[in-house]
Amino acid sequence: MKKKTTLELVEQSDIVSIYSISFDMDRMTEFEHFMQKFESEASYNRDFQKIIYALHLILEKGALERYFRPEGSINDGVCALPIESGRIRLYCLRISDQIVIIGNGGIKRTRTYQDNKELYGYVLDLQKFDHIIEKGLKDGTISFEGRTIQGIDDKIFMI
Amino acid sequence: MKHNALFQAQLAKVSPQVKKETEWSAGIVDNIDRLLKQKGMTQRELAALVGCNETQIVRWTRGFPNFTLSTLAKLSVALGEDLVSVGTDMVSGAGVKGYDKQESSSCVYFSEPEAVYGKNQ
Repeated sequence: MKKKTTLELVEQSDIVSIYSISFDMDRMTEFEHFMQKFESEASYNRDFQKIIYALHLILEKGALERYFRPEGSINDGVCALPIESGRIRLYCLRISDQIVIIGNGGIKRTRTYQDNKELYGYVLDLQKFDHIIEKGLKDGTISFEGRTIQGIDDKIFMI
Repeated sequence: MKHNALFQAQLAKVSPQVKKETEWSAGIVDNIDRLLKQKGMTQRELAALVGCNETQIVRWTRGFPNFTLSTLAKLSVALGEDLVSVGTDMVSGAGVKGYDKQESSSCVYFSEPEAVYGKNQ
């Protein structure tokens, strides 16, 4: 079943915008669900803090390719924000040095994300959204201007 | 400028140790990238010099790796420049807010941030 999806701007610096997706008119974005899930998880507190601070550095220095690790398939832009010493993965689409779309994430307990139903679902959501963006860029309904994604205001995407 | 209340609240809770660790990790990754570009060296060539496979080099050059001293020494030797330089008194990082290279004879070299964000931090 397809989900109604919207794209929301969640955090911005002078050089980077972080967007996140929201499903079925949920008032919270997937990134906020991720933060809510881990803010009181004491056992993963340090890893969670590292991810939050890594995002802060990305906002400060740019969403440079080297800060992300490709995680989806060759044909999509799904990346993980990996903290090597930790097991938490936050999945995102790195659009450019100035734009990142963040999805949800969780604890990687299996060797690959495909072996974990929850993580696989998060990656799949972003892969589907990546296709929508690609299609929007081709037909001109979506465009990137600096750190802004144009053509998403009040738009509902079905993924 | 848009800010998310939940993100800002979580950011305010990050411990000084985690901040430092993450800044150093990003700074070292920046330095490796800079040196590879400066020397026109590929990751494959670096892997050959270090004596490991390319997958391992990718792990050290993407994301926010947790470097051991042994790894830093191997990479520094292969790149012909110290990724981290530590004196006897204290460690400071150039280009990271709150640190001043001038104040210490020792330093952890980082690339300059391209912009300042989060002035409330």
